[in-house]
Amino acid sequence: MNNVLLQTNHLSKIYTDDRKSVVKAVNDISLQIYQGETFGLVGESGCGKSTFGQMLVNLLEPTKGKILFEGEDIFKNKRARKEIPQKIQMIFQDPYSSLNPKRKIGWLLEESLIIHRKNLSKEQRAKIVDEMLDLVGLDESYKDRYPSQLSGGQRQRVSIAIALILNPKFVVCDEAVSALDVSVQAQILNLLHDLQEKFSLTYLFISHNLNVVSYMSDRIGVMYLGSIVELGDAVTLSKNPIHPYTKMLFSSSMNVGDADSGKVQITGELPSPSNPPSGCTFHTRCPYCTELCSSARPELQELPDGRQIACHYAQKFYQESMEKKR
Amino acid sequence: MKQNRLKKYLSNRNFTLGLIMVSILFLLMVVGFFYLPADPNKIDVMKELLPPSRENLLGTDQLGRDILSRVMVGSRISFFIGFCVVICGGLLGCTLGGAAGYYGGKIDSVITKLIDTQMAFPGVLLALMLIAVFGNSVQNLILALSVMSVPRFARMSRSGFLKYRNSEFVKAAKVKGASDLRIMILHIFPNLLQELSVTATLSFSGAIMSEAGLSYLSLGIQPPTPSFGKMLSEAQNTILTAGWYVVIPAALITMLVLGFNLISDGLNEIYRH
Amino acid sequence: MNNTTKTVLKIDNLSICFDINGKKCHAIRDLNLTVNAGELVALVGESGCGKTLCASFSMGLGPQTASLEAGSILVNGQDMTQADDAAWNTIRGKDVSMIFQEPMTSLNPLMKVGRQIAENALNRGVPKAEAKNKALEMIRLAGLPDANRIYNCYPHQLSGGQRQRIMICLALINQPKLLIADEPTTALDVTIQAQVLEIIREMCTKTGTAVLIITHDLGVVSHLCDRTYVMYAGSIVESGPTAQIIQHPKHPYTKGLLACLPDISKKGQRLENIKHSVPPLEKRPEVGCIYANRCNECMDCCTQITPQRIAFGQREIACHKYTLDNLEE
Repeated sequence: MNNVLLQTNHLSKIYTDDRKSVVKAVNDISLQIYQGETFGLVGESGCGKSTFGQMLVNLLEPTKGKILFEGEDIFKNKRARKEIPQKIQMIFQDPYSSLNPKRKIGWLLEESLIIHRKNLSKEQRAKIVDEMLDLVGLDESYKDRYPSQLSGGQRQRVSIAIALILNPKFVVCDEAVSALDVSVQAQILNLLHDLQEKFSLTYLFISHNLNVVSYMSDRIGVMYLGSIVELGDAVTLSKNPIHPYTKMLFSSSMNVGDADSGKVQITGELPSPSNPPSGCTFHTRCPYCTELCSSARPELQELPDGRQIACHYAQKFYQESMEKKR
Repeated sequence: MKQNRLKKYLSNRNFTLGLIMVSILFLLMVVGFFYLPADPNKIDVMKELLPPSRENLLGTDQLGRDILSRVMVGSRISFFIGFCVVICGGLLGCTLGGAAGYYGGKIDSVITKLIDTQMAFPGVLLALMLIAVFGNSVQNLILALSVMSVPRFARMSRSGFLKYRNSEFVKAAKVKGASDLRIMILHIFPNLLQELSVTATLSFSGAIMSEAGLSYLSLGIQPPTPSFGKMLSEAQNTILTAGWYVVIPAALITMLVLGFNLISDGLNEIYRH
Repeated sequence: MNNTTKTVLKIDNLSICFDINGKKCHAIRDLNLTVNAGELVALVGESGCGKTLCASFSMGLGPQTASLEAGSILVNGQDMTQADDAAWNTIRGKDVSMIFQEPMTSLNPLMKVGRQIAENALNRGVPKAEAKNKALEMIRLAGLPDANRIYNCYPHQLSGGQRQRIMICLALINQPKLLIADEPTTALDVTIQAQVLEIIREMCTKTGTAVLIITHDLGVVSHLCDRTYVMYAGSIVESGPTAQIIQHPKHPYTKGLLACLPDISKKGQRLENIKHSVPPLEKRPEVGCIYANRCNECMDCCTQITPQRIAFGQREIACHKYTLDNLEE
């Protein structure tokens, strides 16, 4: 668990429009994702988590910064770019719109092989497709069906098969189970787990659903307006969130059966990303905001328990939480 | 499944009616390849402007040629030109519109301006100009009519490509590493076929009408090859003495154009529901 | 007599059919549901189980293609089963109102939101000036700052959370007896969801409105609702007080739903799941338990005999596993 598989260095995606308004969708994110782990990324919609995921699979061009995969820049040259699909793949949110309605399942699966494994014969390709379908729990007969003939869960299985057919090491799951019913969601989560073990995959698990992320992930990064505000071990983070935003996020998630006691007061809404607040971007909603927060932007710092956090009062909050534990 | 789909098409009244009209003429043309009642170009001054009779089912023209035979041969030209124009105009239009819609930005504005300019120019005038410069031939007629039908296809495919270029399944194809060309042809294009078929039938009827118009002005098909437009212009001199001669080509052009328009309306209705 | 006035919505043995290729398919079968005054009731189920259909029939907004086979709908003690549009119009917005999942599509984009709220009161004969004051008060109650500014905003100038609050104002301005909320927070972020649900609870307590929340999210249910109906493929499989259902689920479906929720405490374990997925309308069995093909405690009788509801205490359950005797133990 110590090999860094994917690393981003000061990765930013900045949109500018004609009127010179600047939206920092992703703002200077540096993080490492280790071989074999599941890294969860949570945040409200519009916080830039999907933008971050899309940059990793070459769907969006980063404005600044680098993405290193096994130490190599994936945008280094044209050839490296072409190889991205074989290393990094993506599972999309909506299984209804991510499969081309006019193409059969078999065709959709085979396509990646046609593009990247040019030396395979037709029979060899068909064999791989069958194996892949079998792996995700569908039988061969699905090859000749159209996406509209499948249920949501079956479609998401197909999406997973498509993502894994090139044997990538890294898979970005962008809200991969958000559109599914809970009973099917559990099937897909189990499937993702099994496949991770079988192929020693590394996941970047992007979701707004804290329960799903904290269940799936080894480490979690919490994003707010394009930046990481807290990053650490999943259990530590969900049991003892330190950053006021993380606290708010976790207390607003509604778990079945847990009591309402100790809820943090939730106030305000996500500010417009084109006009982010000065200083700490969270200060407009933060119950502990001081003058320092509205003027200076906090840097990510590491706390004794290994987590990284961007808050001026991180040390203070950390001490308090430790005392409470005692 | 397939039977259901056929049923769906045939239960639409417009579509069925149009299909019947077009099929009659199509059959007439096909039969003409194997059997003609008389030589369509055989001039016989003795039989000038005969009314319909058992011998000449639709009568004869002022040179004594059998009108039924001329109609059977003339429909070939209509279908041939319609077909060629839809293929050429469709290919060119879809390529231009596809590139504009998919890539956007500068490519889009250049292509859109180009098409807008073309549309601002009267179609018949353009055809006249082309024929005046390059000479009077079927190829040039097809070229002129194809250029005229490009904007329709280009606009339709541009809006289609624009709609799908940011769709999730295109993103999914990009993540697979599919090239732009592959995405455009194999992923987006099949999704446009329905709308495209509506545009194609409309263009087909438009081309037939324009061809008739140009032939009427003696700019399209050259005699003695029969064509509906040409026959119409020949018949207008005898409109008072031999009424049937004018009615026949006029009725056939109407039937063909109306048929295709009905098919197009029908398809539109079917796809919308 | 007292009993009937306390019940704001009573659905009895409701069956609704769709005609699919000439075959009658039950979308809702033998459904019983009551909402009492001032209560917060949840109708939980996965997508395609008929919960939205049930809600639209309770508002007289059922689709034309659906036919009411049997049963009755009583709104506020009034039998609305055969009511026409005119009859529904007299109670819609006054006795019963509804909020939808996507607030943008249910607001008029060309009218100021304040006017839209006031309009609802005007329609019920409230004088103009009073309607405006009432609307402003509702906006304030909904926790929106600067009510006068919000009053003059158009829907597109507001965020998703704000729009949903406006929808709540719209629905509650006439102090209806019953509010039907169809997935009111599904389109919203978690932090906003918590706020909006809190507003619904607060405002309804103040106005004395009963709420029927339709949702797929058991978390929402457990935090908000007094009573819960668990729906599966058109039938209610289990109902009762929320706390009892969450803590001691009886029906295998309810158990399965709760067990397959991911949670930090289940980390590293496989999630339990329910096999297959909800069958489409035309493939649902006519007799027997509708859940039989996905149930892992399925017995022989389950596929042959339709289970009857058994009532015990405040709960009801429809499953062959239980008899009155083994439930009371």
